[in-house]
Amino acid sequence: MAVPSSGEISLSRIYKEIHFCEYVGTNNVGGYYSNSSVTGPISLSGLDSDSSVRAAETNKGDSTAPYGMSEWYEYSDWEPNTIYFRVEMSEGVPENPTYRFQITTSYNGGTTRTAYVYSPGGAVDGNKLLGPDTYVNVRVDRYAPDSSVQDGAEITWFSRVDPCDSGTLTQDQALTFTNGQSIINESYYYTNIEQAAYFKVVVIEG
Amino acid sequence: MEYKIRIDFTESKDKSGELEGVIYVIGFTYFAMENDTIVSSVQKEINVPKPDPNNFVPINNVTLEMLESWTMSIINVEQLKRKLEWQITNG
Repeated sequence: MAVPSSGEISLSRIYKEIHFCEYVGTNNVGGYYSNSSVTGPISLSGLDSDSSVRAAETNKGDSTAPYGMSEWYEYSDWEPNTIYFRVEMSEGVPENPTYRFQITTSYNGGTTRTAYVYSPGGAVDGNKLLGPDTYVNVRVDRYAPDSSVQDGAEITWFSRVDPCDSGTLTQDQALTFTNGQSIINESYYYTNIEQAAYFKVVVIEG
Repeated sequence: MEYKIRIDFTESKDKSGELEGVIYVIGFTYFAMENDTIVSSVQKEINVPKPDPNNFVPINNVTLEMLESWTMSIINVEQLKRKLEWQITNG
């Protein structure tokens, strides 16, 4: 959630939006100093020169005295029209499979970001521009050495509307596969995404 | 020292002219291993030349081996090896 557009706003919460991408949220509440490079009190002039401020954002301090809280109204640390995604995989089978995750949007006439995640373990983070039609298809394939599950698998698709919000993810779909079943083109199709979103897919095999 | 490549991601256009699923970017990691441990690595992206329509493989039919082969044919392998060795030497 971005800094509100009006009313009372908090200096420490602006800092929190800049560094944790959440004006309101559970991440690091009350610990603004403990896990950041900030060693002194937060100041408005300090925020203006904070290197973590998103460069393309226009709703931010103008680095000129007098410094005003209102300059930060509507500051948002996430990139508009961007999808963030994370794929994770854990496995307990000797075959060490590779999974392929494909995130397709309508951006630029339709583009697909394909991430390859290798076992054991593994996680991939990424982002992608969101197209004007605002759909996203998140597809999973067991890619190598073949599509057949060795000892059962479960795939779960999660999402949330605001990628910066550390709140709870919504579970959208969960599929289970038994030994020998193929995982080919298993997907979940999201529509009506008006702003940035965060998607996460978790595969557990074995 | 053993050198390996790992494909991390691709970007592809769903439709490009008459072709569908055309890869235009490959992201990869090139790394050096010793005793099955990665001792140095470098991440890169390369632009893939426009495909020959007569010899085209759409994204969903592409294998990891193909991606690795295409990438190895584009990158300067010796330069990457020198970079990995420099990283090992200089910490």
